[in-house]
Amino acid sequence: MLLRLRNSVDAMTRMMRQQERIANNLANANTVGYKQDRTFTEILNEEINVEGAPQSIKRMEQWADLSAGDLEQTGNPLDVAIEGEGFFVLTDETTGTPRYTRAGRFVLDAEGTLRDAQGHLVEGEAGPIQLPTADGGPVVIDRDGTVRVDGKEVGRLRIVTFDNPAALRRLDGAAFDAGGMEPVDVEHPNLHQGYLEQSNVDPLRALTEMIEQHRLFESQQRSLRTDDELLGRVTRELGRF
Amino acid sequence: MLRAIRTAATGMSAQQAGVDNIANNLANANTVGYKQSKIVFHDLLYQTIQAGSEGEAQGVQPATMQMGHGATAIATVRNFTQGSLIETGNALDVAINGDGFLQVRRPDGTVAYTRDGTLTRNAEGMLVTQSGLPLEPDIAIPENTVEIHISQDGLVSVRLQNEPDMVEVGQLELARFVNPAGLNPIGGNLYEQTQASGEPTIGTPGQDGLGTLMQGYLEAANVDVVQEMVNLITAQRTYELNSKMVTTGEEMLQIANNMKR
Repeated sequence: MLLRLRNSVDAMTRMMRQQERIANNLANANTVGYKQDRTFTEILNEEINVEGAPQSIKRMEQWADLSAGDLEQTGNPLDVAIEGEGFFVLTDETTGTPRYTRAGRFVLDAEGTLRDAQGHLVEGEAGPIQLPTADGGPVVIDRDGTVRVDGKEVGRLRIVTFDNPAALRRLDGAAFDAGGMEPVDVEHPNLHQGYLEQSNVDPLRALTEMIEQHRLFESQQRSLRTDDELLGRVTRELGRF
Repeated sequence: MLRAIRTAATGMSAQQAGVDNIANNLANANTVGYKQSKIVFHDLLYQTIQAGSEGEAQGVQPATMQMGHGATAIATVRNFTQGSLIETGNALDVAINGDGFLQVRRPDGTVAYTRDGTLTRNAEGMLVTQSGLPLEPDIAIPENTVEIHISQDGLVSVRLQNEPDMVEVGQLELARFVNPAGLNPIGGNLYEQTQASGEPTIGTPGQDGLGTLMQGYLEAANVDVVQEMVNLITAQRTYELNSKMVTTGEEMLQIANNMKR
């Protein structure tokens, strides 16, 4: 009986977690390069225990839905979107660790080095990309990632992918940490200058999930209360003897 | 559960900042030389938590989960694409066709940059902006001038009363930046240089990638009103979605509270 209560509590805790995840997706429905967070609950083992109560071992698996977001034209020459697979490589200079992202909204620092809005270095195939600070013409980024200023090549954006992108861990700023995984260079990336990849959050799905979790939570609470009443009655009735 | 409510609240305030930005763009849809700004959203830190306790009870390693904490607006980025050129016929209206900024000297002696070429002649005969800031370098227009001509490469020449020929009185210069998006807007159609914009390169209009000058024209704001309205709808709907999440979170808390009668 107490196990039944425990099962309900676990289920309700899971629903709260789900709701927190959905809240994060919704909050980032307009964040460039954001990939929606998805989960599924895996039932590892289901059994009837000695008390006759069903018990299951569940665990929630989480993964980032890496499907492409819509490409929106911005006209800014330092906005780059990746069509198809791949990530931009950024370097966090304070820790020296690489970050991988699809959010291609770049800026220049005072020295003309390409960085993201948070100040991380954007990696080219031969290190950071340096743009000339004086007498430069318009910046052109080719489909294959070659960066040209006034027709002169200054570097090529490094685009990588992973054998198992599901193992990527989230960082803030729509970026990912690869852990120990080695990135694989994308041979023929397909980039679009002047475009940004929008968040791939599907508001309709998120809203449906939100309602679903809300109602499941409600019915689970009802079931818990019924169990509680039953337990109370059993205690009262048995207490008479 | 409180986290879901807080997360949704961060989403609401981010969208609110987005709406403020759109409002500013729309308010400046008719401001000469105004450049549209876009807001940059950013997802917040992730916390690693344990998924559930059933697994643990049975000796199975519970899967870890990363919980996000919502979104925030971290920056606005200006879009320096060319605005359309409007003919005014006024001899002291100058539009920049292409890259570059006019330089003006502020009262404290520092230089600010603008794309608004609505020039005028002040009491001392100097070329100044509408707010009275003199151009850098100085250009003086003699008192008895009857005609002013500004060439595409910035050469200012005037014809004086009872004189048959034009005489040169100055040369307009333009400044360009590696990263104009990094300039800091200080109001009054002016920008000042920052670390992000880099040092200006100053040159003659029409040379070294600088734009040319168009006398008798002004550059309209590059705000795309239709696009801004679409952005406004998106921001409003996202705000609404997040507010629904706050309500749902609140209701779930209530349900949890009702577990014990």
